[in-house]
Amino acid sequence: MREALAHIPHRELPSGRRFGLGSAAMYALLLLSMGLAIFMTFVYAPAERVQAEVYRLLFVHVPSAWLAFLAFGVVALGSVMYLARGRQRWDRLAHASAEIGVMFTTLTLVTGAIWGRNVWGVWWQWDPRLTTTLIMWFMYTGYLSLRAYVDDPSIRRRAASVLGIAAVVTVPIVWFSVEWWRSLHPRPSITSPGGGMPGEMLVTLLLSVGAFTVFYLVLLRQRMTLELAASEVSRLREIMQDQREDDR
Amino acid sequence: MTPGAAQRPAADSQDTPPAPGTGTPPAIDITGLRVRLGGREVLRGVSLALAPGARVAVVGPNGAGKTTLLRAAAGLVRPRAGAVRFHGGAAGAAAASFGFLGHRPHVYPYLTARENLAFAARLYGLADAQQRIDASLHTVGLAADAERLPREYSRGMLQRLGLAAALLPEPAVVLLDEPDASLDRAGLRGLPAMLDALAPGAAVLFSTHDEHVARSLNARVVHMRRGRLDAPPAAAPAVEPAAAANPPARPRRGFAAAAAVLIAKDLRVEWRAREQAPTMLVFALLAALVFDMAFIAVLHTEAAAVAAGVLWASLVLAATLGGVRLFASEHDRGTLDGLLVAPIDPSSIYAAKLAVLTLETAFVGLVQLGFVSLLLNVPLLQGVTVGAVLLASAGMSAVVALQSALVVNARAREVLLPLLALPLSFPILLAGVGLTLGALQVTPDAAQGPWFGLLAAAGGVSLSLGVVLYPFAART
Repeated sequence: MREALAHIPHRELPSGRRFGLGSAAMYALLLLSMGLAIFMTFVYAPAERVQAEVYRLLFVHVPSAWLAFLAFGVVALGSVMYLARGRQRWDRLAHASAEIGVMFTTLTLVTGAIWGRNVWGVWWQWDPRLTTTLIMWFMYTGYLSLRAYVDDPSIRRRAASVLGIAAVVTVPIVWFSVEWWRSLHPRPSITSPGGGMPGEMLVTLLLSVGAFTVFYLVLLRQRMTLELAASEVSRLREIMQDQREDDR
Repeated sequence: MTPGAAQRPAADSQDTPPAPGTGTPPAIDITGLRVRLGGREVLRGVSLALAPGARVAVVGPNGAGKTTLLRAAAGLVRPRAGAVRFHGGAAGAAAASFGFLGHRPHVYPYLTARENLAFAARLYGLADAQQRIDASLHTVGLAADAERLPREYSRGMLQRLGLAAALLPEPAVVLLDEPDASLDRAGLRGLPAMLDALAPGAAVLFSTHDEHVARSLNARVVHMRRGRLDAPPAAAPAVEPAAAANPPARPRRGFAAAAAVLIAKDLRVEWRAREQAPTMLVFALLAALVFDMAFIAVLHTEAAAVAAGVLWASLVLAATLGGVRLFASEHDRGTLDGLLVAPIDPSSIYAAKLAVLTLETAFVGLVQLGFVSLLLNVPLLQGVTVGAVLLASAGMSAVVALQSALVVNARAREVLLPLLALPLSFPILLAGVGLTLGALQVTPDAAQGPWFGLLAAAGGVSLSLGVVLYPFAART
């Protein structure tokens, strides 16, 4: 292995990605914001009049849902840019963002179910918001399945980009579902006029959204670096294979 | 070597100015072509130029990259670097002026040989097609079998028919992937005459394992190994070719005209093979029975609600089933390549598949309306439900057709297609059920307008996405 690598021209080797100042700052920010968000969720924000303590799930549920929307929007952006420019980094962005988006959607569904069990008495309601969110989850699970089932990398990137654009139509459907249909799901309490919540709760929610956004960015960066490393490893393998065959 | 062939200009080598002395741009000019497939570099910088009328055979072992070189030249594989130009035109722009015979001949087994050629003629917009078809059939020795279905042909006969179809538009550039494959001795002997007759004066780039074939076609041999051409032979002095003038690029067929030709072909194939509609219908009827049994406890009290659910669930599933083979059958047969190299807008391929699936789904839906009405004793056959079935068939087909094109290169595509198509079909399912419940007066104050609006919007969005995105999904 080492001998084979020794033959590889220096420019072919991947640029070493060290844990630099930027990464340290990002992780520090993540720790700080998450720590603060947890503190505010459990200590600072007051208990709710009707729901008592269980409403605190809101500080995880709402940011995960918003970040899932953002993540799927980024999937569509990466897909459009990949088809337009053909640069692989756009596809890496879309792929990484889809994985994180599915994770956030799962978190949204799970926290929502726990909340529903306590407030509605059931884990699941056939409610437009819940149902459309589940459909969105299936759509992006399908996106990840498509990526897993196409072996050829260039065909996979193109097919996934096309689907990444088509799938984003599910996002506005989830967003507007509470407007379009009669829904049991609480209506937006920040963006809708008169739906106000007490100041402490609002500040906690906004800070949670901030912390989750940093979390998303850290995960995205990490996942993209991993993907880049994987593609560089396969490229190096290929170069080694070529050299072995040339030597023969 | 025949005297005529002796005058054939040679292929220019790498780094040699194209068609020296003639001032004519090369018929095929491949420069620095690099292609990566399946994570492997299959072509590693291939450069090759052919003067008009030249013939070059690419000879090499299995896996050398011959097929990929020809597919990349035909524009079916996207290179990572490098370009292919025909007659000095813009890279990839002259799709109309070449004929391509792939690894599998682009032949539909359920169209007769004559119908296959007539389809090619219509796809390329050829005038005086009948005469040319007769002459082609005669040249490749299939005149006596012209009215037979190629599914009864031997491999060699299929290859001859594929050659006739590829060369029917008399292209000035011909790309052939192992044209000698499966040909018997007589076929091999006749191959030079077939090429001379069907594509006179054309520049021919072909692959073969057999150098005898290359010699019999008076072609210059270049060896290919592991994605590279071995040092090309010194360029012979170029001779002024007889047909050196730049052939005019064939105009692209209009979107609607191409789609109409493709729809007519698909309907004829379906009529003969009956591969799609009957299976979809029986599946939908069976699904209706399954759902009826599953809801047996409420069949008497909630017949109308169950009927609406049964109708739409079975229809969505049937449309998805229809999508499984929509593009896969063309892909597996190799005929999709034939469509992608034709001078048509790739979106017309999507539009045609969508139209055919719409017709099939609508047919299934209309029969299903009657069947579920009988099963559950509810009046489903109404103007509203018929309209909903027709509109929803188009919408579902728009979703399914795009996903069908996406999964064509995937493993386990039959399993994957429902995973991708069903989440996008939900708005259509919902609107269909809403309309049907309204028509059956299960929901008394039902306003049908918004449901029709949702159906139209879902269909419109899916259709637009499909038409815009299909060309991106089509080429590898």
